[in-house]
Parts: sequence; structure tokens; C-alpha cells
Amino acid sequence: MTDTNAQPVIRVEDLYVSLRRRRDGATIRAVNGVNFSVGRGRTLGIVGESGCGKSTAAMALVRLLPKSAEVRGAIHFDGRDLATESQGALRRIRGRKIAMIFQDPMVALDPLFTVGDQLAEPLREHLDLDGEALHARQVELLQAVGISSPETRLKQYPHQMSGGMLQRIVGAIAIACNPELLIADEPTTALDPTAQAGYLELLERLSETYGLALIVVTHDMGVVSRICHDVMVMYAGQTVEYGPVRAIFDQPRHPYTQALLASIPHAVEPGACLPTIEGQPPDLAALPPGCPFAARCPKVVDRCRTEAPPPVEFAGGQRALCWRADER
Amino acid sequence: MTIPILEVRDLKKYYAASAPFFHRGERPVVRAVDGVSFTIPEGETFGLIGESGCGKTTTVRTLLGLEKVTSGTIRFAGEEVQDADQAGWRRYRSSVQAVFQDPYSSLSPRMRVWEIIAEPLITAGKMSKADIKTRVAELLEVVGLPNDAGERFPHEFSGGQRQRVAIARGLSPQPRLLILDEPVSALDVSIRAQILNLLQALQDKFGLSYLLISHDLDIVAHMCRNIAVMYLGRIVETGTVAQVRDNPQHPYAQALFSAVLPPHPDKIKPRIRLTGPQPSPLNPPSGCRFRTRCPVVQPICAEIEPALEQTRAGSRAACLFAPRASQEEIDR
Amino acid sequence: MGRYILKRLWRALITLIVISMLIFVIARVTGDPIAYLAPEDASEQELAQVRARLGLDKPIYVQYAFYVGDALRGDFGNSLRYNRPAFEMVLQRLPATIQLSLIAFIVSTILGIMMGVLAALRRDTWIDGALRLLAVLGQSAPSFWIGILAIMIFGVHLQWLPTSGRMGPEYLILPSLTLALFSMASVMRLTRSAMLETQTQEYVKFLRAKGVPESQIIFKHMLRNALVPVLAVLGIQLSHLVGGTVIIEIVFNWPGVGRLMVEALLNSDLPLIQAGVMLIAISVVLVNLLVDLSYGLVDPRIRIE
Repeated sequence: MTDTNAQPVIRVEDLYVSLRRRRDGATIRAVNGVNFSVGRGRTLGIVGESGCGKSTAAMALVRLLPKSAEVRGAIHFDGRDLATESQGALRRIRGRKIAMIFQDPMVALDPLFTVGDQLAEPLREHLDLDGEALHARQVELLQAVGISSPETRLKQYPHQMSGGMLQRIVGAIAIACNPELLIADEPTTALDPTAQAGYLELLERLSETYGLALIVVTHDMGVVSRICHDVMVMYAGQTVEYGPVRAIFDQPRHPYTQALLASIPHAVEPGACLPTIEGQPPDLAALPPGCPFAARCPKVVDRCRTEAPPPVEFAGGQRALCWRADER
Repeated sequence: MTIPILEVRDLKKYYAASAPFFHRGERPVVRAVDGVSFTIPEGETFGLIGESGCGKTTTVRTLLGLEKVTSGTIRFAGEEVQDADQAGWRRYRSSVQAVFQDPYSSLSPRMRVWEIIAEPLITAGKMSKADIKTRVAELLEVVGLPNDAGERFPHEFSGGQRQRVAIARGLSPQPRLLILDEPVSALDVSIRAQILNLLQALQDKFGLSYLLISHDLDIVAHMCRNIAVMYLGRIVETGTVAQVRDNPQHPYAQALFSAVLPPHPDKIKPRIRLTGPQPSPLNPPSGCRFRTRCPVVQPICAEIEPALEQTRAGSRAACLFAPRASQEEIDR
Repeated sequence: MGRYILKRLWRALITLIVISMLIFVIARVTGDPIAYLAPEDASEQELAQVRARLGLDKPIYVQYAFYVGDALRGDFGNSLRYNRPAFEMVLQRLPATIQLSLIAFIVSTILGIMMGVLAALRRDTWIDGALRLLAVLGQSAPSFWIGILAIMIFGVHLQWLPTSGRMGPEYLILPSLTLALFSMASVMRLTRSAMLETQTQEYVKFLRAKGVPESQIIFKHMLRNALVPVLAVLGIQLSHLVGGTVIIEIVFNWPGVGRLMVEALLNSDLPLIQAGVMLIAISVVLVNLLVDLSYGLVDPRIRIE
């Protein structure tokens, strides 16, 4: 969209995901018509608060979703539409062409198996590596993420390693089969500041070195500003704003994005009152007509409550889903 | 000079580690907190920061009496409490309450909200039933919960509302100091702001003092007047937020603050990287505890254990190479 | 690992010493042994002679030392009723009990784990419901009742299986299954909850993200992790089983130590009871030791300090 790559690695059109809620069997509209694309070496941040559908949207790409999930739309990747592929075909893509990492590297590995064993799994499964070739690739991967004495490390168990080491091992597993896309779901949420910074640097380096397209799902605007090129702000399953990260930070167009940025303590005088967003997000099983943010929006007008706003495009590829987006 | 609400002097908390089999001689000791001193003036917020394993949680646990102090003193409103008799200790514990990170696990799921809030009052046994009802209603209003919230159970509330319940419970015995241990870490950004605002408002209203523990340095900077940075059981730097955040003198504090995520993509700053793993508090390095990971380490750091000294930048730092303030500067 | 093994061995030894002390002390407090060893009309002098001969005039710790020394040589004295060495009598009956409890142990462990895995994988389906109902029944119904019920159905009514005595392998089926039921139910419930617990672990999510086939995730990773807590209770299960043999042996007329013990108790046959309790304790401690050691094999966090 905004980048120079003519052919994005992944292009998602009109993605809808609905889930069955266990509690009462109601159908949840978790993702409602989302569009985005990511190019080689680019990083897209999907940001929003819990329940906004950001993780569901990302996991829908490889359909790592509860059984009740229904996915509609088009997911163009590697010359095919992942939305129509079978679970078996998607399994062969997971870990090979699309890698994923999750919250806490400390618990990402099975404690009962060696690091080498768990690094070998995708290599055996997807690339049929074995014996010498497998071992050589394992060593190469650990070196690539900056782990010294890889031979020893391969034989060790997760509990014998530090947090920083495990971060890099998880990174090595992610890039094991030379994927084209890496999805990081809340990669730093559980981490201390220095561990968080280290993990983001690792992701950035992997993306740059291997030309990976990177999708970072986060609730933290700081993570977005640190490593993302583009950002997609989600609210109630919709993309309320999308665009290059600088444009969004400089001139957020959607009232929700504005409120999110304003509520970071950094934005105000120490001790002063922080701007807040009153109220609660809507129930995804019973979305209101019109704009889902209307009930909490400081700029709401009558029309917002009845008619869904169209996307408003701005220069540089920024777009916002708001009736009053072009007002300043 | 007014008496500070909390004065901690040279607090130590050692744990006996499990000894190796057929081990002879002294049992190994984990020095979780090893000589920590800080003072919280009445009505102020003091921030304790540092990474997992630095001892901040243990410090909180000793202050709450969940752990026995190994040595050192805890003075609350001028009164030493670490060896207080039962009555003295009970008085202290009703004046110091805590709010923890996860309101879900710290609130009993089988109790109604009003029971949770009233529990400390019922235990104290000094109030009539009617008075307790009035007090609970008051507290619900103070933390911004609807009146009928008292009849409901914790799971019926959102994360932010549950944290309001936890705050109301903390306030119910009318404490003077509230220990806030990661109070908003589990909450969404917009809810986080609401809770922080609420805490500020309560402080103004009741003249409360806060001890805030958080790994979110932005939040600490927003809420606190003074902060202390801990590393491996010790305070390595302490001062006002402006001093420590904007011009840290200790290399660890520098590294920590350089890791803060930028508020804007144009403000990405180079990070000071720490190499190597954090040493175990079972066997801390000799001399300066940070020396094994310090980017500016010198041979002498292994020999001399630096004490907190006044630096020229205004904060107090425990580093041999932090520029010291001259005597005149200190006097001024 | 070496330290772990050493620790376990040490603990097993301590357990045995404590048990031997308990047996010794209980034997002393239940009454003066002289009362039934000497003739009723014996004079004080004769009693003193008997005491001296048996070493009962020595201080208690010396007596204990003698007792341990004898016990180590397999000498628990003669059965009061049968006047044969008590140790020998118990030893004769031991294989039957070991056979019964071992088979029940194996059956309950294997079936329990398999059913637990199945119930977890088919969570909230009728299969899960049926298995859980079975588990509740197995844990709540008393084993003598189950045993009598089994005898009535399979022995009396259907006449499929023998119900009394120990002749061929078919004689084992009813008693061992009845004995296994309780333990199997506990193992199943624990396996089920452990499997459900591992299902939510982050590393399972990461394994799916790596594209590892589901069967491999379940049987290589989840099952092994679920077995860690299951293994921890197997030792306890075994103690239950051995205790349970007493009732089962009576119900099915099984010639094992349990039945012998009941007889000995009814006859106040102290040496026989001592020998029996000691031997059962030793076998339970030994199997527990084996279970503890296998724990280290499964979990590297124990193997590597």
C-alpha cells in the first residue's frame, strides 16, 4: 500500500471471523471486514485493546482458531487463497512459510524436550532434513540468532537457559524453514523493559536480514512506534484506522486512535489527569448499528449511531473509518 | 520536619536455600533484599522499579508482614513496627493496605463485592452492621462503582471494575499507605488511565501515601515524585523522577531507562545493551553487584562495594564512577 | 541425577527404619509378651528367667537392636497359632499378593491413562461423560460391594469366570479388575485434567504454529507432560492397592498375605502380624522408590539440577 514493493507477501481482503461463545453459545463477530497487506521486510502493527479482534485476525491467516471459528474473505499468500485451503494444507504452511511466535518465550518450549529436539521438529516436518544436514542447519540457525557454543545449547533443556537465550531460540525456531511471513502475537507483553527491548530488536533484525514480512499484534503503542512501518488500529473487530506509523502518530484521524495515543502517560504532565475513554467496548455478539465506537466517542453525532461510516482515504495511504475523519 | 509515613532502613531479607545433599558447613543463603533504605513522605507516591528478581516483590512482602524481616528497621509514622507486639502490628497492618496486579486472583470468587470490601471492617469488629453497610456504599461511590455493585460477584465485572473493587477493599480500613504492586499491568490502555486517575484523585482526597511497584517506567514516572531503582536486592540509584529518568547516573539505571519504548517513532534512541545473564542472588558478585553486566566496568569494581552517594546530577547512586557532588553542592 | 537417586534411597531407608520402630513399639504397648509366652501359673522367678532368655530385661533400645538384628535375618519369631516361623509363612503367601496387586497396578495405570487421554480429547462429548461417570462410580463404590456384584454377575449368573481361589490365570481376572477399579478411576481423572491443562499451555500453541502434526503434539508432547503429575501419584495408588488386597482377598478367597493378616489379627498372632506388615511395607517402599526414579527419567528438570 504505502511501501515500494509492488507485490506484497500477504494481502488480506474483507476478512470476517465469527466464533461461538462457550458461555452462552452466542455467535461473536470477532473480525468484521478487515483489509491489509504486508510487503517484504516491512512490519505491520495490529494494535487495539483486549477483545478488539487483533489476535483473531492474525491467527485467522493460518486458521489457528477454535473449532467453532468461521473465516470468510480472501487471504492472498504465495499465489493462493489461504481462506479456502484445508487444515492439512495450512499445517504444511505453518512453521514453513508463515511462522508465529507468542507472548512469553519462557513458556514457549516444552520443558521435557531439549532445545535441539524442538528446533529439529519443523526442519524434519517441512524440509525432510535428517542426520548431518539437520544438525548442520540447527547449528547454523543458533549462530544466526547469536547463540555461542550452539553444540552444547542444542543438548540443553529450556529450564537450563536464561530468558534472553530462550528469546533467541524461539527466534531461531521461527526462521528455521526460511518463512516469508512472521506473526508475533503480543511478543513482549509479559517481559521486563530490557527483555522487551531485546526481543523487539531481535525481531527487527530477523525481518531486515531475511526480508521477512512481519506482523506484530500488540496493545502497546510503544511497541508500534519502536518497530512498525505501518499500523492498523482495531476496535470491535473493525479496522478503524490504517496507515504509515508516522502519519498515525503525527495526525491520528479516528477519535479512538486519538484517545489511545492521548492516554499514554508520556503524553501529559506528570501527575496531571490522563485523558480516558469512558464506557466499555460493545458486546461482539450484539453489535450496534452504525459505528461501534459511537457510544464512547467524544465526537459522536447522530448519524454515527445509525449509519456505518465509510473508510475515508488520506494522502500517504492513511485511512480512517469515521464520519468526521477529515475534520481537524 | 514532618515525620515520614514510611521509613525503611537497611532492610534485609535472606532465605535459606535448599542445601545440597550431605552438605557440610553453612547453608547457602539467598539475599533477596540486601540492605535497602528508602523514605516515603506523607501524601507522596514513591516508586520502586527494577526487573524480575531484583527484590522489589520481596520488599513489598516484608512490608506487608508476609515475610519476616531478617534485619533492618521499618518505621511507620515514626514507630518501629518490625518487632512490634500483636496489637502494634495489627494497628500497622490496618494502616497499610495493598492492591495487586491481578484483581481476579486477589478477590475471593465466592464472596459478594460488599462482603469483600467489608471483610477488614468485620474482622476489626468495631463497627455495627448498619455502619458497615454505609461505609461500603461510601467506598463504592468513591471508587466509581454503581451502588448495586455490592450485591454482585467479582467475575461479573470487567478487569478495570475489579481493580476498583480491589482499591475499595484496600481503602476500607482507612489506611494511610497503599502499596500498589503492578496495579494496572493487567489492564487495557484506556482502562489503565482511568485507574491511574482514580488513584491520583484518592490521594488528593484522603491524603494517602503510595508505594508503587511497576515495570512500566512511564507509569512510574507519571505517578511518582521519588523513585528508587533496584538491582539484585539493592537500590542502585534513587532520587526524583526527573533526576533519575532524565539523567540517570548508575549504568544499570541508564540501561533500564534506555530500554523504555519511544512515545513516537521519531524518538527512537539507541539502547544500552546489557550482556550476560543476571547473576543469582544466591551468590552475588563481589564488590559492585552490577559489575558482571556493566558496560563501563573497571577492575576495582570487583573489590569495592559502592554505597549510595550524592551525585552531581542530584540523585544518589551506588557507582564508583558516577560523578560525585562536591561538599558545597551537597550543602546547597 | 546422582544426588536425586541418593536422596530417594536415603528417604526409603528412613521410611523403613521408622516403620520397623512403629511395629516394634506397637508390639510393646499392646501388652507384656510374657503374659502369653509363659505358663499362667509361672512364679516370679520363672518369669524373670523367661525375660532374661528373651532379652526382655534389657533396656528398650537394646531390645530394639536385637529385634532389628533378628528381622534382618528374617526371624520374626514363630506364629503363635501355627508354631511355624512367621516370616516363612508370610513369604509363602507373598507371591499371590504381589501377583494380584501388580496386575491390578498395571491394568489400572494403562487403562486409566488411556481413558484419561480419550476423555480429554473428546471433552464434553458423550464419551467423556460416560468415562467420567465410570470414574465417579469406581471411586465411590466400595470394593467389597463391587466384588460381590462381580461374583454374582460373572460367576453365578453368567458363569464365565471362577470366583474363588487361585488356580489358573483365569482366577486372576475378577479379583484384579475389582482391585484395579478404584485406582484406575483416580488415574483416569488425573490424566484427563492433566491433559486438559497441557492443552492450554503456550508451548502447545507454539507447536501448532510450527506445523507439527496434531498426533505428534498429543502423543509426544502433551501426553508426556500430562504423565508428570500422574507418575507422582502412582506410588500412592500402589499403597492403596496393597491395602485394598485385604478386602479383595477375603471376597475372592485369594490365598495372599492380606487374608493371612486378617486371620492373624483375629488370633492376636503378633509375630505373624509383625512379619506381614514389615514385608508389605518393604515392598511398598521399594515400588515407590522405582516410581520416584522413573519420575527422573520423564522430567529433565529433576534429572538435571
